[in-house]
Amino acid sequence: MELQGPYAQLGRGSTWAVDGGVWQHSFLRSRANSIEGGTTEIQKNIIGERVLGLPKG
Amino acid sequence: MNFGFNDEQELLRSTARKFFDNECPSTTVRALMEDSSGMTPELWKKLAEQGWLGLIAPEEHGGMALGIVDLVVLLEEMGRAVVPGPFFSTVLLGGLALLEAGSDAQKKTWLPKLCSGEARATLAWMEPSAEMGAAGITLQAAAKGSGFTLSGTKLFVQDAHTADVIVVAARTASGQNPEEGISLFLVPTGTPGLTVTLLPTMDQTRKLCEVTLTNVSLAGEAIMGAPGAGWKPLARVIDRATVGLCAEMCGGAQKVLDMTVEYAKIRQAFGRPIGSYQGVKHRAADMLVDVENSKSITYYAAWAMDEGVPEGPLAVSMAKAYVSDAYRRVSGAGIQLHGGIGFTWEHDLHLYFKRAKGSEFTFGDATWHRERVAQLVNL
Repeated sequence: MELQGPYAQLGRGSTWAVDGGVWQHSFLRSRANSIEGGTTEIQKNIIGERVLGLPKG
Repeated sequence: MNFGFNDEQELLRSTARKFFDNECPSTTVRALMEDSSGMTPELWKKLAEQGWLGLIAPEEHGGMALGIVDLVVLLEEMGRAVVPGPFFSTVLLGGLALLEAGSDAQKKTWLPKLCSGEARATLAWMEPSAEMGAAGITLQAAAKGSGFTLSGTKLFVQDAHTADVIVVAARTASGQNPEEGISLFLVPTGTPGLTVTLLPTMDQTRKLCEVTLTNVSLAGEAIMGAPGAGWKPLARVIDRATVGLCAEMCGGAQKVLDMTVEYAKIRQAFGRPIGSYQGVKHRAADMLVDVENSKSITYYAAWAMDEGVPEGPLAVSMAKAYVSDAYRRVSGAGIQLHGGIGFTWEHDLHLYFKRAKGSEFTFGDATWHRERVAQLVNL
């Protein structure tokens, strides 16, 4: 997205969109990836407690 | 020196907060973003009745003659409500270009109409090269008799599809210095040879267009100011518009923070509010730091514009560099802290997240402005 500069503003269906706007779609989708199926924070809790053996909060 | 807002500005803020709560709730934002014009005639008329379309225009042309600091207050509230439509393009792009570069006759013709809501304006300066600086302006304006013929393509033009007049930046001469030889032209949208195409955007609340000029014939009086002297006023317009955009972004970021803190107080997980967990608390505190810093640097840049101090352009670039990153961080963190509900279509956070990402790349991204800061302090 950053490499696209102002073109990052254009979405699917725009003739000027880079790669047909697939990067914009993936960018928006990625915002959910750190939440769905256990948030990043929950995963870090699990790593801290189960892998590193830190005490539970 | 007083660093706070005065009573009139605080009144403008509370009036605007109430106005947009009533007139542009998120149900309206969602309807407007689906609509190609991004605005209803009723809401446009109400914006005019408030005097806000003429906020910074001189009184002799039907405006309120206020400054960029006052406009920043209003724009913060507009960003808070993610108001779509051609306010920004009419007031801060086309309108400001007329103020900065228009002849008395051009101002007399257009400014009263812009202030009353009768006409809308925008500014076309960027081209497919996506270059922000003067070198990016290559659209040719050839002298022909007493007039000019313009040919070329402009891109990322806000609201050109609903504008009545477009200020087009073109090149009347080329030389060693790209800042020389740029001229601004007033082009009514009905002019033969002018084609406007609406482009689908990621942030649907912001409408962008391609504007193509094919042998567009203009009379000599269409030029704004002296031929070849267009860069200086154009750069002033872009700087002011950039501060305005930062203000919108500050308002949006504040709203995301407000929504997130509210939610963290009531949402329960493992028997306690999620805001009681350090992982949430620390991130919310980071959001507040981002929001407060964004406001401080934006207010400073707005003040610098109104006062015309030499460090004005530096302040503008410092603001846009910081706020571009900050709004993206805050809107992303807001969704993260909301969890699953944060990325549903029904929740409003995605409106802010997309507005943040789109605004990041409008009028130069953080990287571009950091480079400009480096240049301006002679690094």
